[in-house]
Amino acid sequence: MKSGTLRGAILSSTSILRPALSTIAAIVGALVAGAMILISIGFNPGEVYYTVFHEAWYTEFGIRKVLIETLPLLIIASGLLVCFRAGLWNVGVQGQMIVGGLFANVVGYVLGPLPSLLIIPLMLMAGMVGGMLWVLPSAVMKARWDLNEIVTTLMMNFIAIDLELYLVKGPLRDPKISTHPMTTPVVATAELPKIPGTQVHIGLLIALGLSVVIYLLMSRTALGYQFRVLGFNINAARYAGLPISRLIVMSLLVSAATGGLAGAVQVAGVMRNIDPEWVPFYGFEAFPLVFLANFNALAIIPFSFLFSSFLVGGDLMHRAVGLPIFFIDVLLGLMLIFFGAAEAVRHLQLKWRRRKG
Amino acid sequence: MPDEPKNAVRTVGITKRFPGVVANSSIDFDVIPGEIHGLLGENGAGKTTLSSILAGYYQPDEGEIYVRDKLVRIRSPKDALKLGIGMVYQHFSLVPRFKVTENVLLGLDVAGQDVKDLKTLANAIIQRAAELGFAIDPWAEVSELSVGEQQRVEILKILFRGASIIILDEPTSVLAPVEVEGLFRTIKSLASQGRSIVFITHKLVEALEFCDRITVLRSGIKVGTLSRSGLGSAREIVQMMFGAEIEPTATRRVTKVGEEVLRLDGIVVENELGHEVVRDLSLTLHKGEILGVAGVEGNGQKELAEALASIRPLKAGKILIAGKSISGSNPAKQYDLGVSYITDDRVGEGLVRDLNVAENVVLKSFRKPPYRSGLVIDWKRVERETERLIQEYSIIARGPKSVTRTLSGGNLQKLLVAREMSGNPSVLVANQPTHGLDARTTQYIHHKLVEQASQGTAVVLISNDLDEVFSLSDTIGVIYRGQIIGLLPREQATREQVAHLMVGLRE
Amino acid sequence: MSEVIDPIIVMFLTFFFGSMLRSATPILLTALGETYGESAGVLNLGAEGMMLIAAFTAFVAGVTANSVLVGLLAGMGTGMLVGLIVAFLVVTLQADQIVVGVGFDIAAVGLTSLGLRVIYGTAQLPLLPPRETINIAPLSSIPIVGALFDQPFMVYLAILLVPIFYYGLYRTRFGLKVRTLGENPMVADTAGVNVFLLRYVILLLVGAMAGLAGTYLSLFQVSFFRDNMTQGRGFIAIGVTMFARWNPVNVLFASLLYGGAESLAGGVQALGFLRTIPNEVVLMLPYIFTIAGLVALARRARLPPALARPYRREL
Repeated sequence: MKSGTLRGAILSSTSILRPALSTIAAIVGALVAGAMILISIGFNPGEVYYTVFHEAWYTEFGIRKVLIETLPLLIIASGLLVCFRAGLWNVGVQGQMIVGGLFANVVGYVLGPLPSLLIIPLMLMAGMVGGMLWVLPSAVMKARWDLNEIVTTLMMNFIAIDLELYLVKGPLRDPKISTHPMTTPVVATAELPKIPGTQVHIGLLIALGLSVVIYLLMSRTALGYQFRVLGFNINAARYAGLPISRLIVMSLLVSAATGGLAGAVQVAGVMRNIDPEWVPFYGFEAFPLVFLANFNALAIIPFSFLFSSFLVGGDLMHRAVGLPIFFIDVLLGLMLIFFGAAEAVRHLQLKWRRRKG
Repeated sequence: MPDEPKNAVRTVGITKRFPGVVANSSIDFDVIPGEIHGLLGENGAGKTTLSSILAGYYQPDEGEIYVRDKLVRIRSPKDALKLGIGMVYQHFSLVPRFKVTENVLLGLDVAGQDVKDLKTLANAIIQRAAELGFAIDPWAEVSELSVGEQQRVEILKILFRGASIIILDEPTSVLAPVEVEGLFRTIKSLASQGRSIVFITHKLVEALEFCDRITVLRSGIKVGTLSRSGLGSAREIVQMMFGAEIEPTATRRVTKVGEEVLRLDGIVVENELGHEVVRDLSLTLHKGEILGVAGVEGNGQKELAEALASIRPLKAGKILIAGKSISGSNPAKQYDLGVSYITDDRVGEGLVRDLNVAENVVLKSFRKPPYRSGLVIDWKRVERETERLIQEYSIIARGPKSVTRTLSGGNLQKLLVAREMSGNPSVLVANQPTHGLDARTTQYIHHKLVEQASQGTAVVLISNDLDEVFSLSDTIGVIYRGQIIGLLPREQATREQVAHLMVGLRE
Repeated sequence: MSEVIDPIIVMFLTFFFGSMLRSATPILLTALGETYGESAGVLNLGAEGMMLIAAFTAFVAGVTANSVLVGLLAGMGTGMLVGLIVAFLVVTLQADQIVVGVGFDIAAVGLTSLGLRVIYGTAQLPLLPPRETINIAPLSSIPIVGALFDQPFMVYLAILLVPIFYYGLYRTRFGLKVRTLGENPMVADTAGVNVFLLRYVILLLVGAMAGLAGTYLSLFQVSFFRDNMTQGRGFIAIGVTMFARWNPVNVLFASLLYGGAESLAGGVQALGFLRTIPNEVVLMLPYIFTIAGLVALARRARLPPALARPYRREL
């Protein structure tokens, strides 16, 4: 299933300009289609879109929230890029994030007495471990038995949601809070400090750093190269003697580690403890992101910012204009569909043009 | 007496363009009922394209087609079927998992005589086959049949669809010399029933032997049509095919053959289905020697090549390199030990078309210095080496960073060969290295293979092209049913001998 | 008999058998369509989205017209419409099947939840009366197992479709053509089959089945629409199709097993059974079951070679 020529055509374009056309077409197309939907339900698209960005960028609260929301998206998208390039589809990032968050949470209060300098990295690492553990069964099943990872990671996703319910209401429940089950919060020293001069925690710097690391990984290292070969032509990978099982597992582990890291960062930077019904959607929102950014680890940065602007702006706009937030999901889904269509048309157009000449 | 159509099928001015190449240029072609008309030309001349147009698979950009003297438009294979045109493609058009009856059934609702159920069809198949002089089990799964039998199923399929114009694309390329006889008996019988046969081939000898008329194509143009009585010397036809005197392929120089470099000791290899396709095979390769392994496709060549490259594990037996037995199948390790492998499947596994040329060049060598330092690949260095290879092998590409997908077939093969040879291997396994290539590229690759050998590499040339094997090898062996039979130095081998061995007839 | 067995167990088992079929039905319906789709080489990851959109339109149409039939037609029609759009994207434009499928899933959640709020706001949702069941007497009087014969009509419909789908795929010329598409589309093409048209037809069928499944969810299994009410069933159906090896009869058994897992989870919750195992763990059962099924049965499964690859005529 993995050497679809369309995906190949997307992933291989070295010139930045041409695939950007598909991205632009996708965003414009989605906005236009979204506008038509808005009109049909009695909203003014201009007003809606304006409010979204105004709330997101021109209010202090908005811009801060956007930055805070960008970073889990960015972390997850960077990791997904790696496994997508290797041809693996990890759809269970949500579950990996939850498990990572839980692991980090526990480390965050169990290791309480330790100084910040120690406890924070340990928490983040615990988050990564949690995420990786959660994808491990799917990774092994794929590597060994070629079992569809979309189905298995998604199943693990649902299991994680139920597991969270159980743990937070049960063994991990904070005895001191009687009104609503929550986990024991991490100690104060375990919270991520803010970037000096801002209200945004250093998670943002972690996210940016991670993007650069992933960029270097994919473009410069032997491992990144092997992932790409695997994703484009698994038969060639076999012929060249690449360790396919190991590569499959590693690419999934990378994407799950980032998922878990994102969960840990959310716990340490924003939430401090976990609600039993915490079900973050970044894993699904990141999916179209990676495609629209044309699988470029650096391009993911501005796109994450754009997406979270939509999401935060949409949330704030909801209160201002009364349009349900779900509209943003519609936009994201449409963007993905339009992107697929635009790339397909571009591919077909290439063939048509060459035929004439 | 009503006017019999003069032509079964006739094309006028057919032109077909593909990205970057004109496959057919204003071709006028005609076939008389009851004749066997050979379509001759080297690889890439446009024979398959023209036929695919007649079969409805492609649409011409210009030109007209007349079937039984009536102007027609063939917009899809369905139209072609309805007009009675049937084509047996080179790599067959069968579903291996389905039974013979199921494969034949497909298409009968469009043309030919439809049947109500498979049982009726099965009986009809047995009968038809008998009329043509062979037997076939209609309930067998096609994957279980031999290549020759599969071809017969293809022909039956076409006949059941009521084809009166039958096109065969390189039908003998998958047959042993003896099976070819059977094929021609069938063809002659069909022709005598009034059907027209278009016989596509690049083998001059065959065309001369079996065809009533021959049309020669070269680079998309029809050079001319000769009828049997007007056939000139083979030389003339070769000139028509290639446009100039073609030099014999690099003649093998005699060098001294050195010490043993690699030895296969009674190896047994299984294919995907778990069948043993290489059985108790032993082989010794010497420094500087070209060992030609001739054989009809399907006798274990691919699995042998993969075993040599350690892509496929051994079920039994040993591989010894420089006297030491290696265990633990691993293509990467094998490459590091000096074994390079030119696969027969350049697009499916040899190259990654969505990566650029430089990225393909390091496919096997990226793990070690000088391209690798620590975790990182030194891309600048890779690109320099790629530039060098592009120059040395005259590969037509826009540069090391151009996407491999843009390269033509011949250049892809040159890239593959360049990569495998550039590692200075001690053993070079070449599986059908010139399959499907035009004469110029073929010659070039032959030249390179000889060059490698003279530099001391042990070359294993696995090929189903007897001419190639004879012109390049020092030693010739035949692979038959997974074993090497009849290993002889070239001077002592004759074509007849080898042809017989290829079918398993020993002296 | 009932004096011998603990009445709680009787109640539980009766409930179990009753709800097993009801839980299995949406999976069964979707998966039946998917067997044809995947056999023809189309991987429809948008099944979840199709089901959800159909559930929504079926509900709205049914409640507005106060007719289950209208809702049914609307649901099925919506499924087919989405199938048509997917077909255009994937067959004609040859867009990537995974990208398009996931895109629809995301958009569907947004569209349906948005639509729900736009149409009904925060008001109480209008309800249709719960579906009546068709009671097959006297079979339904059998203790415990009798619950199997007292089901809404769509359950029976789904089961009846199984032999029809099986026959269609394996014993008709049409089915042969479909399977050829998944094995090697070129063979079908040269046999005069219109590959593109046939794939369109298949996607309409897939959409219709997913539409039926969605309708069942919002009009039969319960009588309302809730955000994201499909809860992953579309993906479970895809998983079921795979470990049933694309055979409609196996799909029936696999769906029943799934239904059993889900109703077991529900029954244990409702009856407060087995207090030692926490409720939430039991909720995980259906998902664990799907994974287990894949591991147990799909390991050596040979995917149709042409799955998820667009077809082009080329040299």
